[in-house]
Amino acid sequence: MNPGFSLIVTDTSPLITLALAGSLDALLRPGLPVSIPDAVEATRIRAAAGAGEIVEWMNAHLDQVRIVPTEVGIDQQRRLEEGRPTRALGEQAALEVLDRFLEGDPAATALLLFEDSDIARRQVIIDERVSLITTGDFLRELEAAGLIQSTDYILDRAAERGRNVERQRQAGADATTRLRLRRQLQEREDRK
Amino acid sequence: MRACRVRPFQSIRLTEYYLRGHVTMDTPNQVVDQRREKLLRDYAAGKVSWSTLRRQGFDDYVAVLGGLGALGLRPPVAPLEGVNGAARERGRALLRRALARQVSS
Repeated sequence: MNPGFSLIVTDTSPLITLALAGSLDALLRPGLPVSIPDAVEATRIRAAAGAGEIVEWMNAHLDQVRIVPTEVGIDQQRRLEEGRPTRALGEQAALEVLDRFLEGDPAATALLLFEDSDIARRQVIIDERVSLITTGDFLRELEAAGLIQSTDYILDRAAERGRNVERQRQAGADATTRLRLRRQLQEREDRK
Repeated sequence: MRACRVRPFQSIRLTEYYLRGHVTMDTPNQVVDQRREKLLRDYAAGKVSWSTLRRQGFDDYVAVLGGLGALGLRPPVAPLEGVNGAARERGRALLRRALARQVSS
């Protein structure tokens, strides 16, 4: 493993896509340390389906994957407690991690992992030592190296599993609504 | 009758309604679903970003994947061009070298 070279995850979407496709290990194939800023990890991963898999995967690879504490993460925690918005803090935390990483080692280089549609539309101004990669780019390179079956297969699997998870969520929400309605009707009956 | 935008696959059903003399009105849920479906289709086609979806009420990427799955679509892969093309080319080259090192070791 090269300690002067790190893959920094800037958003939860690559993790969720790979988790739902059962392909989180793909992130480890290049043999690079994987840094996940705390603000990326904190809210959306914990709230999302597939969170268990992501946490389990992180714990199983603590030698290569680490959650990086940031000041943005502390601010995010405060905002969450106060019910204030936390949008885009994951990316800010990633930039904080990146700054610290580059300052700590003048020879360091980093690869920032973004979601495809976001990086296609926004210019990211970065240091020469920093390169960008998207989930799609990442999978395409693994495919070219013969390390995964196909990019489309993984993306299709993620969408298919996402569909099943959503169905279960909706069924759960429907069941909760039915239960509430039943309770209300029962209370009304009891009052008569 | 309220004017509404009709997508091609709906037109047959709606035409049947009109011919039978029914008046159709979208329920609020249908309007929301149609709006979400349009956003998801645009996202899969690379016309809108995940940030836009978040601003439009998708606060969870699982919901995005689920919606794409229900529509038989997959997440987009951005073409290697545009504003960050050079930085992405560099990223892919770095990744390629790292993978080659792993495969050969």
